[in-house]
Amino acid sequence: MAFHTKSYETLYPGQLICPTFELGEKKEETQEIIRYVAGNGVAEEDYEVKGHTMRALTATVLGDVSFVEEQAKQIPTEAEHTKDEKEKDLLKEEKKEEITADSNPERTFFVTVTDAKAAKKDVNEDFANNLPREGSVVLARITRISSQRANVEILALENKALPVDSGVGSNGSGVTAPGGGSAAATLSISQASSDLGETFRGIISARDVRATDRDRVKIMESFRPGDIVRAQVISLGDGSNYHLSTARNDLGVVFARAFNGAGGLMYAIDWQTMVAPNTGFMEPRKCAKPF
Amino acid sequence: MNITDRRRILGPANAKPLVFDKSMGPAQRGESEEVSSETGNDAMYIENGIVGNSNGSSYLEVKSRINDKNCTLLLTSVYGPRPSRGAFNAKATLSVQFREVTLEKIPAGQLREVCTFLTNIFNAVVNLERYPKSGIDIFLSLIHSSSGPQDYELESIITTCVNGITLAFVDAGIEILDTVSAGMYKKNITAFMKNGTEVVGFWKDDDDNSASEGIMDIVEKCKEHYLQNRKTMIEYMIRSSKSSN
Repeated sequence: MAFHTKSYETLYPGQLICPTFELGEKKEETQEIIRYVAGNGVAEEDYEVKGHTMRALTATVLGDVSFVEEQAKQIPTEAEHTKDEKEKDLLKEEKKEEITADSNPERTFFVTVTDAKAAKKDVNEDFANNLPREGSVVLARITRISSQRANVEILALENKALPVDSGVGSNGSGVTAPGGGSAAATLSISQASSDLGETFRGIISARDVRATDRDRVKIMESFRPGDIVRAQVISLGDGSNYHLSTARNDLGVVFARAFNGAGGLMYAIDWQTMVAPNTGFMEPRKCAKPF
Repeated sequence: MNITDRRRILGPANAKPLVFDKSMGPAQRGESEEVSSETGNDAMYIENGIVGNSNGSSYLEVKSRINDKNCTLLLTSVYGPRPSRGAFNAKATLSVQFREVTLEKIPAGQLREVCTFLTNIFNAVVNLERYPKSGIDIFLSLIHSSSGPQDYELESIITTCVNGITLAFVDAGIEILDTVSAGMYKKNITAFMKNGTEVVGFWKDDDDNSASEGIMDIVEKCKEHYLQNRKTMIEYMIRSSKSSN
């Protein structure tokens, strides 16, 4: 029986889950290969079995295991692009053989172990295992601005993993969180209190504020200290700062107060203007698309 | 100039001091996780998640299988991963702080040695790659330790520390490669992983009793104790995760 169909008890750190690959269904000419890739809470380790060393996946936290199958990608083969119709017909017979010969069906499973306690919660406060990484979307507060960059402190991380720019370029509408731009439903609030200066910090350079007209970005007209910004991590940066970017429609300021924090909350009316509903004053910001 | 203390959360000006009610005598201990000592195992009481503001914590009470008077009470708390300042670090950095919270009996030099030993073990055990640019702090509070004739027995304390840190990591949900535990034999400690096939730490003190024994024999003896400890810890972890569901 394949490992992903087995039922597992609660796993503890160091418990073996499955090998990195196994052979699945065998048909007349093909042999299915099942791969297992380590996700959160799982590590790939060397194990010695009967004198052989082999790679196997082990749990690294206490919890329940889940197998998620990777969706098959539709990649057109080069032959289909380059050959024209006639040639294709000629090649058809040949290709058929090729397909059966070297394309053994392969399935890939991502193996993760999650704590049952944490999985049940609607809001995941488990910041420990959700450190910002490249591509993740974070909520951050602007702490300082200069003409070159804005310094921020990272408050929270949106749990949902984002597809790495799969057609969601800087001009696309992007993946938006349910519940609007504030993304309140999918947030994890950092357990580190920001008053203690113990949050992860980041930098938004002027050239990463928006995708167009990058040379004419003025930080003063994009962010103000105290604004809450939705941004994406573009690199782990240096020792103390992550590098963030807001160059996408759904990234930018989500919450801001008027008059440098003295006034009331403002609303975005377009992507670079916010308005205070009480006074009608408008202030420039680089806003996130709310919906 | 008005300097306000922004680091601490100050109470209101009209706050009253905290007054406790008369103590009610020792609280009834609920159903404990004690293992019967008839089989020659250590008696171990485990409780996780006592320290509320930490990311994970464990409390251990261990009574030795050999010496009836040898008892160790240890509270371990894990903080982090917290952001680390300074140079870029692709891996997390680990720090271990050991403190005797009641009577201070152990000299500072030995404490430092113990901390380095424990740091080395857990550097090999924690999946540090998962936590870039951050630091993980472990605080060990030795509440009580007694060992009959001696004031304290460092070996049983270290063994308890290794077990306690592992349990605290599990409670914190920080990724560790294996349920690491340590076994003790006379004045020797060996920390194992992967079911006793890999050694992650070895501690040997001056000892006339085991001086004549070969090192492999000592490691084997430690392994027996390790397997017992590991079993107790895993049983507790499985049980606690089931009861919370």
